[in-house]
Amino acid sequence: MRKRILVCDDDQGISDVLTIILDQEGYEAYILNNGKGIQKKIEKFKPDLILLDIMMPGIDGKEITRILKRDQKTSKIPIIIFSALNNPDQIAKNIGADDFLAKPFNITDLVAKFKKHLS
Amino acid sequence: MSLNQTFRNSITQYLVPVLPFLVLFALLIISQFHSYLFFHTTVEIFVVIVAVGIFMFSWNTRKLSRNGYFLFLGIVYLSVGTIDLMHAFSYKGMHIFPGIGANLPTQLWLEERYLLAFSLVLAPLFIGRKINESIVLGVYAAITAFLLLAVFYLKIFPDSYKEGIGLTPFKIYSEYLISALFLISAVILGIFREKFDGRVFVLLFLSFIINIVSELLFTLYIGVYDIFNMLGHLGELLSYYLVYKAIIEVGLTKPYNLMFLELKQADKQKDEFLSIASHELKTPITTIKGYAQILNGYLSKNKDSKSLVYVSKLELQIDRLGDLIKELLDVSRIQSRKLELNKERFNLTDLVKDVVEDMQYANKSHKIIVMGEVKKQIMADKHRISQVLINFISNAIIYSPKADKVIVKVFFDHKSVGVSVSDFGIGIKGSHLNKVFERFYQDKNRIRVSNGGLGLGLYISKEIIKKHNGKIWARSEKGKGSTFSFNIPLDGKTL
Repeated sequence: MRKRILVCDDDQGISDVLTIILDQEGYEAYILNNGKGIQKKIEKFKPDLILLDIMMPGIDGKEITRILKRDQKTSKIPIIIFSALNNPDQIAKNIGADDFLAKPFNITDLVAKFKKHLS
Repeated sequence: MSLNQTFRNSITQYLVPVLPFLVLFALLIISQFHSYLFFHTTVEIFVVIVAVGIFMFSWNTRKLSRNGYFLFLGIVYLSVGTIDLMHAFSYKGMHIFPGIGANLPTQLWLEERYLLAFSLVLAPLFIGRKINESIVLGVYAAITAFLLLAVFYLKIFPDSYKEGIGLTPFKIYSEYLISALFLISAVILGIFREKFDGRVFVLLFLSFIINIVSELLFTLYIGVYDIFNMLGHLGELLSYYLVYKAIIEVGLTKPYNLMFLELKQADKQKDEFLSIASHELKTPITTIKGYAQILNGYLSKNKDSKSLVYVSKLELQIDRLGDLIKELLDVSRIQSRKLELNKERFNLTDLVKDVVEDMQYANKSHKIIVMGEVKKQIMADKHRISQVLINFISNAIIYSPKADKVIVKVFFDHKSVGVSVSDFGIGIKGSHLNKVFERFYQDKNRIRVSNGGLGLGLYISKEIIKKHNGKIWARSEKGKGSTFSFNIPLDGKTL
């Protein structure tokens, strides 16, 4: 069975390219362009991992992480912070995300991080 | 640091600078036993000097600052100081204006305090605003003239002191009202606290609060030479001393904090702009790089080696663009002294091995050999140190295109742990060796390779190592190769 990845990123270009990459790498991707109603969508899609942008209109990635990590139903799902900000490692640490991936990224790094958290 | 040391440090930091003032303060208190008039005149002269000083400072810097608050305060203090001077001259026993008792100076005192208190309530209106200085100065000159006339000639100001009886109810209630106004001005100042430098705010705020205490003490005296009158004057002295510290001292020693806070904020805005710009630039690069990698995958699968070369070149340039953005942001941070370190304890040898493994994976042209092993841990920013390592190693590879290896040595040198990276390339001329760490430096004689960059890498590395209190240096022999090294002190202090 394919592992399910929820991608939340407001940039259409990045969402599109990730759809192709995740499909090629053998994952089932579900794309969200903002954090609105993310909890309901998680309930429906049941992702094994979440790849989360930080700078988004409305609720940003930091807030989403806090909400998801506080909720018992979603706190176990690994969250990888995925950002073009300069310090994604610190942000991930500060908000309690499981890992980070800096933009722009290498596919090999992306897959390595997925494997690490999906094993 | 021991408690004793902390205590001693805080004494040198806070007590020593105010010591001369404290001594004068004590002398002044003693002097009133000899002559109250001497005490009073000295206090008021100090007040007048500070008031005029604030005016001179804010008036002469008015064209430099866009913040009208301090100019307004300067004009207010000039008026208040003028009336205060008259108050001092007419004080009981001065005999400058013949035939007047204690009523007139008390009236002047009330006028001056009303003026100050009302003005301080109004002053926040001028924060961040340009004011028309001639109009404000004109208005305050007129008010001052009227207030002086009201007391000296028109005699329309209510009686404040009656000989043999003491303070009139008008005077006492006025002091309550003035206290309330000072309280309001302190509260308003509190509301606008983020518009001020932290130190300036605290000093001004304290000065306003002390004014209130002073005012309340002035409701209690019976004779103009008694203890409550003296305490009130000491409060006045202290309050003016704090205003002096806030405006004149801070204004002269740290003008940015007082007059040009807006410039500081503009600098902050520039930083924010840069980090947003870099974020926005990286976003499309992420997409482009993503597609280039997908394309690379297809072409590899279809064994289209010619197109694969093109895509690899494309990817190389995309990475270069990404690196340039990072470098520019780093340089901007260094220049605005905002390069921050997130220190943690780690083993440098382990970090070197990790970085080399990653770089070896991406570079097949050179064998990267790690030598030496140091068990001691250092306290440093792991991310920044690996940035320096990557910079050294990629330079070594780039500038030795004909060689097939790079040697990375980890060494321990009694008080520090360091790394040196040696290549077997063309080397650098001795005269150029000390220039390589300068900003935008590029060796024109060295072979230009596609990943040239801006010549910022070594400059950034130098600043990172400097921030760690370490040393960075280069050695080279023309035709034989170069060695770039850095070390980090074990205790984190300067070597």
